[in-house]
Amino acid sequence: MDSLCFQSLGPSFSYGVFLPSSQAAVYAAHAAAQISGKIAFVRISAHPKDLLFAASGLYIAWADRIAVVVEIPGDLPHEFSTALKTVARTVLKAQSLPLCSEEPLEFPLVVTGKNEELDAFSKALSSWQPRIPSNSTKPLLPQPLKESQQLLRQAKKPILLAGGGAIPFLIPLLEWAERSKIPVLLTARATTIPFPVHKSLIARSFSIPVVPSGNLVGVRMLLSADLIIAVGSALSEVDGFGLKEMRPYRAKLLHIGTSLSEASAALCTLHLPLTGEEWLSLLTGEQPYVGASWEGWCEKVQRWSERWHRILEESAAQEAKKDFISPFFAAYTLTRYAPNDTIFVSEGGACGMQIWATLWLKPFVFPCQTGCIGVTLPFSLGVQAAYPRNPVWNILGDGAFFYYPELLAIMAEQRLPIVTFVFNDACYGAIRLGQTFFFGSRYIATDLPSPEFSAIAREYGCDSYRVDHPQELLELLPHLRTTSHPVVVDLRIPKDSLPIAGGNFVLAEFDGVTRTNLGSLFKSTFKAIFTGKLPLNTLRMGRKMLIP
Amino acid sequence: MDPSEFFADTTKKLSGGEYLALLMETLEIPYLFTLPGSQDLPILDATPNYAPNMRIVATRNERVSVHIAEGYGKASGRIAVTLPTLGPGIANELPGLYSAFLSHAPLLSLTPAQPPNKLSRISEVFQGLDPQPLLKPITKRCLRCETASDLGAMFIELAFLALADPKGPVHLEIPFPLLFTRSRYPLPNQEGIRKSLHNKVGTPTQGKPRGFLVTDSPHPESTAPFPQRVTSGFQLLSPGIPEATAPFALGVALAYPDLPVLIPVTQELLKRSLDTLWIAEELGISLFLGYKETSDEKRGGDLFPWIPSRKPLPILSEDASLPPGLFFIVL
Repeated sequence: MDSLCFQSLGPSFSYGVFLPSSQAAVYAAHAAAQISGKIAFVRISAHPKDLLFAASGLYIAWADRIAVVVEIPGDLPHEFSTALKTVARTVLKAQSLPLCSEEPLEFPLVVTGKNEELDAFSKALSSWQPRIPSNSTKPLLPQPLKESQQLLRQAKKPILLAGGGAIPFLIPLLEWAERSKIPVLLTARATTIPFPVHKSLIARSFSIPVVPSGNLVGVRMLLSADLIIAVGSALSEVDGFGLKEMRPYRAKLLHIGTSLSEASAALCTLHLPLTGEEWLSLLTGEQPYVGASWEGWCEKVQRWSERWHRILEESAAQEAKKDFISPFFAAYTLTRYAPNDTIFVSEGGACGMQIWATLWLKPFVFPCQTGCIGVTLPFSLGVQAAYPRNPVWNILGDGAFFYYPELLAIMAEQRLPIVTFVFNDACYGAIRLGQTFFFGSRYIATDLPSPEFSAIAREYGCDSYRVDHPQELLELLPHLRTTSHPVVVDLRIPKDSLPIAGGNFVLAEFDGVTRTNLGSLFKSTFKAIFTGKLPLNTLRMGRKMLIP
Repeated sequence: MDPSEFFADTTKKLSGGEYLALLMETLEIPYLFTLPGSQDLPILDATPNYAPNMRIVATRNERVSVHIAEGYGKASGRIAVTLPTLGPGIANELPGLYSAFLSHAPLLSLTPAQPPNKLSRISEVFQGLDPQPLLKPITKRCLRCETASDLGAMFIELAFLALADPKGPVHLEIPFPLLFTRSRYPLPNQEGIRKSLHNKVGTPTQGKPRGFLVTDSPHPESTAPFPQRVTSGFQLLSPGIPEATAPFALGVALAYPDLPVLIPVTQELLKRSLDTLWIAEELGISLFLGYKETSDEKRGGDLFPWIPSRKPLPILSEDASLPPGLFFIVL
């Protein structure tokens, strides 16, 4: 993440929401920070148990570089201080806030001190606007700049890849891309942009394609581009970079950012250690690099986007006629019929992949770099605290329901209108896919007989429904759009669904073993197709999108 | 102890997953508690052929896996194995390992790890995490296996270390490509290992108790909800942290399925322990939940109408020949 990300964070706020564990509290803060773009504070005790619960939550924030501050009254035992440095990008004492320092703070952050010192720290941090670290003391050498201009001039099919570090200046960056007629692809992290930025993005209505991560349009863009201009991206595996077994792009890679690791810089054709704003200011006075060489490229990507939406719509219409709810139909329907200002919350697993496929530039909270499960319910409390007037719709799998079911009681007590859809296929769907593709459909430890989630939800004080047919879901939606009470919807879906998106997560997960197990992969995949384990409609959707 | 003496000169070509399953069978590991992940599938896939006597219990939360293993280890003195996935999986285990560390419960946690060639970019690797600094304060030992040739010796060394006094949790990380690829592994000397193992495993109880009473605290007043005449002759066991109580009790019940296991519960504990109760139902394990009813709270049994075999009982009778299930004892 580019250090510029902090600049966009205005006044911070902390929460009066008390959660059953410091892990749940950190998760809630993570989501609040991610969706609001502000810093979120969590105060926990210095007891090793609480530190470890917090550490297990902080890891997810560390991976996505979320602006969470964990405040710990007292001193940390030395061994735990070392441990926390694994999952916090900064660990410091409250007295040492570098108010005048030019060094940026990296988040998440752990701070220790007495209670009054922590109070002063959080107050100071709330109003602190750091100076933007710039390269002014080390002016960019003319040669790298010339090389970047050369790359732009030679390109015929450039794309702008906007990462999490570009979020603070996303709109000016997209305006430059619009002038230059360069289509934009958001990384996974940038797809989960804060709500205020998202509103600006939608209001601005760009004439170039702005494509979120996780769908087949993005795949085609990566495969077809000859130049990727990556701004504010850490070049993570989830976005297709640094994989050992494959390189899902053929393009040259021009990276702009100030905090790229050496190993990641080695992936680049050219790395410019500029902040995004510095780079933009270098280009603002220049003529856009649109030449005859890439005329028509933007329109082509636009047509892919339109085709993708058409495929989704047609497929959903077909799925609506079936006598069972397919997870694709459920995901598509929820994302289309939710109220306009709904914030979606989801997590890893097969249901998360379905949401990535169907969600297009809507406010979304997701653990991108870890794809973990068990975060949705605490995340949603954080989102609700940050935006109490917005509907919050959760999508989680049955395998994740039991991490924090007691939070449903908090939702009911506080009458929070959070709607939770449980994609209940009685298995760990994403893991089961691995068994389908690599292990000859031998399913061990992935079947999950489950109780009636709707009955549990009722016991916790929520409204609840069980839904088995597409028509039932369509009939329920008008009520869900206007509910003022928490609702849990137990969606009964079949096993062995194949998400149309989420391949980026799968590629990253199995990177290092796919090539050496190609034999098992082919054998198991053919077996799955011929025994009807894989739904062919998903393969058809993919073929329509990728092969004209 | 020199772990290498437990291996024969003969080798066999196996995947890392198959080899680990074979080692677990050799050590007579009775249970593998897991919330499966993609990278540990080779171990699970190998268990029917290489560890047919080991039962896999799929939990709904990695921390709960460890708490169950903690209860099992504390009651029986034997080790069970937990298998979280890498990254968020092992992160979720941390409080559980701490609990086992505090209560001196032997258990072995196995995790797939990112291969060495990804460590320089661990921040950008999907589910990348170096858990060693997090595990060091809360395990007796945590090791990272780098090559196939180290795997067997490390596994045996850690298993015996977990059982050595003071007992406690241990952890082994294995680069996940090793689990998928086939290499030549030395076959374990099953007889020698089992003989040493039986010498190590003591009986933690002085004579066989009438049953077990699991409380969130070892202090006598925490047993108050149960009448003395009911719990006389019962052994009191407690986990390291209170959050572990219900799954810990399940682990105790797995160790001694023919003895009653009592847990004083509150509504709060019940609401936090749904997954444990559901797993107990799935496994056919009996737990006796002592619930002190207050006028403004629901009866324990009514909290779980979805549990088909719940039966409220006024008192625990001497004749414990009851079918398996969850029993709410209203006190």
